[in-house]
Amino acid sequence: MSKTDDIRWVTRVVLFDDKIAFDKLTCKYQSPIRRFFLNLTMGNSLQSDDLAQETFIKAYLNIKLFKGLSNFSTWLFRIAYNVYYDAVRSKKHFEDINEFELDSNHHVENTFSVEKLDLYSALKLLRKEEQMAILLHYMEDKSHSDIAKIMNCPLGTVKTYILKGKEKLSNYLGENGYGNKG
Amino acid sequence: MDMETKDKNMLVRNFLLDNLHEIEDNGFSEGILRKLPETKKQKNYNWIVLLTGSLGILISLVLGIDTGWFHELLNWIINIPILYFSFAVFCIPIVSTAGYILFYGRNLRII
Repeated sequence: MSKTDDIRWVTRVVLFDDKIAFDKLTCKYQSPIRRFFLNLTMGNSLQSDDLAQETFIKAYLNIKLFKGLSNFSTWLFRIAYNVYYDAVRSKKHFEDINEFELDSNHHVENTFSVEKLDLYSALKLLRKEEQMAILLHYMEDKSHSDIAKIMNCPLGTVKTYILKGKEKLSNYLGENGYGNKG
Repeated sequence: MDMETKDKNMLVRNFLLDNLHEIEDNGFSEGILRKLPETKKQKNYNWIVLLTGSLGILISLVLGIDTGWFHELLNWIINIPILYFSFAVFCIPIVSTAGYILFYGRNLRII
């Protein structure tokens, strides 16, 4: 499905309140959105699915506000970003987000590997903004300007987040022997 | 960009991409579909169309009868050949089907 398809589905949702069209969009974007939340919640699939669900429902209710000035995925990630921050602020989902124990959260995700553990341990070293910028840039293939739109901050700030995050990650990976791998 | 920065960049990129996996839907989308709330229905303004339409027809009729052009119009309609009318009637389903296919982009199953 291309960007044109996205616009077509969005138009159908806006004009005819077509839930099947919205389902097409959900099917397409469920993986990136859930993955984004899964990494932010350090592998807690229950929390991440809750947040993803809230994101899609908010997107559905506000789809008329989508002007098509950016990609639909960028707009969706902007909602995801807000949902995540609201959740952090209200502490609805994150009672002790900064004090979580990796092991206690990881039991939820059944398929985690040592590498996943390393990913979450590495991400834990970053500030929330750095985590988001790094995840959006490297995993979701978003450009710096798209990330600036998603996080609603200046381009320079995004670049700083990515630079600092990358520095911390590379130090962690170097210390854990990743630099020596083929 | 120096070599060290390039290496760091590659290290981080490769590490994150190694951890990039597609998440199976497993009924997630279906769950969302079920939970979608009903959006507010738009207010029905059909009565305005009906009211203004009826008023327009009424005013036209009064003015038309008064000035005499209504009779001229009737005469003109009566003199239109029946063939033209039949053609127009037969065109309605063709035009509406074509419009439906173009607008919705669907293939219709006739049988």
